[in-house]
Amino acid sequence: MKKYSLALLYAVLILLAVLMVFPLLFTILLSLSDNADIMNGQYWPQVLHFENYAEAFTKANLLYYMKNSVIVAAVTTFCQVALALLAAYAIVFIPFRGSGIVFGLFMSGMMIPMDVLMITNFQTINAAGLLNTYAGIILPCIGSAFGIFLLRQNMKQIPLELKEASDIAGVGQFYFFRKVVVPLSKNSIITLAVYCFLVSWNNYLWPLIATTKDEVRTIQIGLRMLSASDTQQDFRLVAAATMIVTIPTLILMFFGQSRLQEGLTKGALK
Amino acid sequence: MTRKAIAVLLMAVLGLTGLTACSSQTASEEVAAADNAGEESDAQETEEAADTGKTEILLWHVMSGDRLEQLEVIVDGFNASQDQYEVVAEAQGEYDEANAKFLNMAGGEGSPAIMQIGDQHIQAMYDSGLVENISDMMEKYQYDSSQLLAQAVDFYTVEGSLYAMPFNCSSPVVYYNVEALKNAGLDTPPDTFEGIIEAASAIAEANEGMKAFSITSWGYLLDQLLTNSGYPIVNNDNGRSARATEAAYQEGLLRFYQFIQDLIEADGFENYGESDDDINAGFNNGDIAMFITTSAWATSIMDSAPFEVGIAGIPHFADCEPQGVYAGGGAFVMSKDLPEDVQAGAFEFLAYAASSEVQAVWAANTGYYPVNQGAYETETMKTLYEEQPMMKIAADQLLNGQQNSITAGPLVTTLVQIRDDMMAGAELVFNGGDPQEAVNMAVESTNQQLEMANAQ
Amino acid sequence: MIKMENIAKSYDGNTMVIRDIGLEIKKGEFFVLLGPSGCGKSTLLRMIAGLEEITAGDLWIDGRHANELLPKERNLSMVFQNYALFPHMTVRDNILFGLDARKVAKKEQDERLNKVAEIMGLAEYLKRKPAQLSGGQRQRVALARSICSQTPICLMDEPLSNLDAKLRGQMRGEIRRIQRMLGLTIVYVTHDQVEAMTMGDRIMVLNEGCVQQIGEPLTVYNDPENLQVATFIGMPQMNIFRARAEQEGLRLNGSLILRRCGGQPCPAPAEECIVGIRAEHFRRGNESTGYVLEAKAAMVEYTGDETQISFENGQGYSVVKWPGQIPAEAGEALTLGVDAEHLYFFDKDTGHRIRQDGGRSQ
Repeated sequence: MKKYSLALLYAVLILLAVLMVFPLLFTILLSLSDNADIMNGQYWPQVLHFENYAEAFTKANLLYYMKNSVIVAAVTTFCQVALALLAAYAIVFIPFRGSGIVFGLFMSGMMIPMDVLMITNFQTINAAGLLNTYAGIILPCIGSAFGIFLLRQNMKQIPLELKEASDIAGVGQFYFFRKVVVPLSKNSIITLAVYCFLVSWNNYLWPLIATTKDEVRTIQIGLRMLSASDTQQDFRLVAAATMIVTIPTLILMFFGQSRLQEGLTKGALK
Repeated sequence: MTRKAIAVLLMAVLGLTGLTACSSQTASEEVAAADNAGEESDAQETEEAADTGKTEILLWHVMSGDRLEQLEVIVDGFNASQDQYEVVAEAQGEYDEANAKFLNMAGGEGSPAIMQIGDQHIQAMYDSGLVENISDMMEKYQYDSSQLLAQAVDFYTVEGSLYAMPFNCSSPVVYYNVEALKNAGLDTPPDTFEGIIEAASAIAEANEGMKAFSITSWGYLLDQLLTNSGYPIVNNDNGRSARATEAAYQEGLLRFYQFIQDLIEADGFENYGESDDDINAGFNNGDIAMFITTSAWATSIMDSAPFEVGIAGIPHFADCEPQGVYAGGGAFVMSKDLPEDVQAGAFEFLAYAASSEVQAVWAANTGYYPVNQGAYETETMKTLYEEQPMMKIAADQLLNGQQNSITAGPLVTTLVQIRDDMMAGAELVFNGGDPQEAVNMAVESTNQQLEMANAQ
Repeated sequence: MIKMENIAKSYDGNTMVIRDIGLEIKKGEFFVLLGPSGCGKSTLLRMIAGLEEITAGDLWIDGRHANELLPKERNLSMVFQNYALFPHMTVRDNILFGLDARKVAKKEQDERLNKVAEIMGLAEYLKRKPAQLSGGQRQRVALARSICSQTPICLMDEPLSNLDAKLRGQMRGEIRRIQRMLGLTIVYVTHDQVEAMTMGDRIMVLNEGCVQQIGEPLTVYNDPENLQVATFIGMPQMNIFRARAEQEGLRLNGSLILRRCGGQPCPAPAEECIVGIRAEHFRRGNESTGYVLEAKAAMVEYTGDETQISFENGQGYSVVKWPGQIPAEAGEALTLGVDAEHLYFFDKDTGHRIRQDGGRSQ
């Protein structure tokens, strides 16, 4: 009986794994195909067209956009994690009147999708003269209610006694924050950083709206430029470029996965 | 690299872009900056302009992929053709995104001199008051507008004046599998919807596993089909005699939905939803004998199909006189109140982009129709039509159409939403829904949105 | 060293969890706050530490008015029930935590560390993390941190409650030894009367936020001020009876009778009151000069060094405790003697001690 249910579990897991991996494998297949074959339903390439990758690289100027994406994603991640850490710390460890309301406000912010704010953000950035700057792309993305929530959940696991012991020992807030809270929140911080980097890396609409010129545009926009307008899609090229763009995120996932899992479930279960 | 060095570099990069933003003045200021060459060296573009002494013309477009390459050919060609102006082309995503951004910037700093719009946005552009009257410009710069394709001019005319320079023009056509139709005893696709239903069983019998016809739910295709059968999309003569206030497509759309329903019953229809790529793949795969999509796809469809592809005009209802189609696609608008030299340069570019030679090359390499009548007389087009007579059939549908308020095309600010409404109805019918119900739903939504838009 | 006047605490502004507390703790004193859980003893300690606000009253520490002082300004250290060790730091860093912030020189820190590590027997564990230590070792680290801070006052909040009985006994002695050696003033919170009795110079018994009695351990034991203190301190608990004065003696719980021997006067201060007798104050047989109680043994228990016999008292069971191994059997008739001086009388309504002429008093 037990064996039977285990087999069922594995069957479901394998099915899910296949569902998850299929788009990736399919993209790899397409990226090595000839476009005419794709349009004729030939998804298994007869000849492997590795040159698609070289073409994608040069045609879309991927390296240039990638540089922008690295800067935007890295700075966004750093700022978002730093801000979320400080905000969560204040909510958890500094008792002040209305801290519950402040936290509630942050949380209600989580329910407003970024897309709704797109126009207002654009007007703000435009009025501030930040159109076509890294700052313009980054600033609206550095406040993260989710980040605050995640880190708060983690910090609530830290016994209040540690804070009291620190107070009595005579160390300041920042000392306690730096020496105790940050090291003890390490997993959640890494989780948030990886998550934030991926979101930022994959962001398309906002960087497009916040820019009118190519100078600071990010990789997803570069990718979009390859996708044809008003005509048949050049799938092999789009697939090849997609693979190139995906590689950094895959690397990140590969190294961050265990911590990501741990961090996300930790906050959820306890 | 040390951590400190990276930090400094990061600061420098951020600082630099900040400066760039501050110094990306309106074009006239940049000209002024160009005079003081050397003083402004932080912004790369200004520097470039200063070196060449050219006036910068900012152009926003929505082309990507192969289309982008072709557009770059035109921009480069223009920049090389004279030494006064430098057109800088910047992609802005898709038609709707670019449109929203343009309206939001309201002509402020960083707004372009020229922007590419989709046919669906002409009324909104006119309403915004942000764009120049092109007819006035033509007069000012002594441009002979008679060389332009009359159908395209009709479409972009609002209250008697042209508000956009036609550029990339297309309309829907029928693509067909020549051999499959021949097997069923047909040389060309039926002219009428009724004919398609009649031919459905013959095509299915003659071709194993193939269905007669398909179309995506894309609203643009649907309103072009209604146009061809003489049905208006909105009231007040398609919005041409007065501002449109409600839907007028009820009758035509109902007949079309009923046609789909009948065809499904006759087992002659394959549902691909709204995906152009899927329907194309299905066609190439021999799953359908005919389908309708924009002529802009012509080159790539013919190139990718492993069999001979024919192109024909779109069908009409048997009891309607075919009217032809309206000149959909895209066009360039010009920002209002540009500095004199920028305006002059911008118009010169518009004239260049619509000139016969440029249009001929553009059309030949993309599948759009030339918007300049002279283009059809060029060697380029003649050769193209000789080699690919099918391309001419597509163009003829537009060129030989009637010229009236129906074929001028719908002029209405909510054209995007109307197409969405038609699409939602079509999806319903594709999946076996009731045509009348689908029409009612679409009309209700259309009228509501239109009322809201007009109230603003 | 620490002085409180009319200290009170309320969280919601209405209910007082601590009321009207006044006391003075002397320098070098080992002062124990004893009471059942929820009596407010931890809250009081945390008020001294500055972790809780003082609702009313005044607190002086080392002569300074301390109500508004921050915890770090009070120049004290604290040992928490769960030790409050930093899990990611080594024992060494845990012990030295906060000394950087107090601007103690590195060399001085090392000296203190070595000395404390030696006293506490932690020298070989300095590089370990708390998770690699046993409960007793963690306790020592927490204590070591407190000592290392070299503050004159040390507050301890049930520091031994997480240890097993054997270790607890050992640590009791150790804490006392170190306190004497370093001359620390310790305020020690516990609910364990054994800790209170063995460690404290003085004990304050708290119940429901009110002081019940303050005094040296034996005074509190021998001369409880009220029923609560009397029953809280002492193992087994003091036997309590509702007493009514009758001709022949005292009727206990309406059933047993405590007969007078010889010419003893009727002892009861009132017609009805509560009388308490400690288990060890019963004598075997009627060799008492005071009173005699006839009862029937219900259960006999031997712990090896003493014998406990319980008997039915009309409303439950009372206990007698004698040293040694006394032969007895359940069902056997018992004759128990009690001296007059070992009868504790309490008011039947208020529970206050009723002292008799010639009885012990403070």
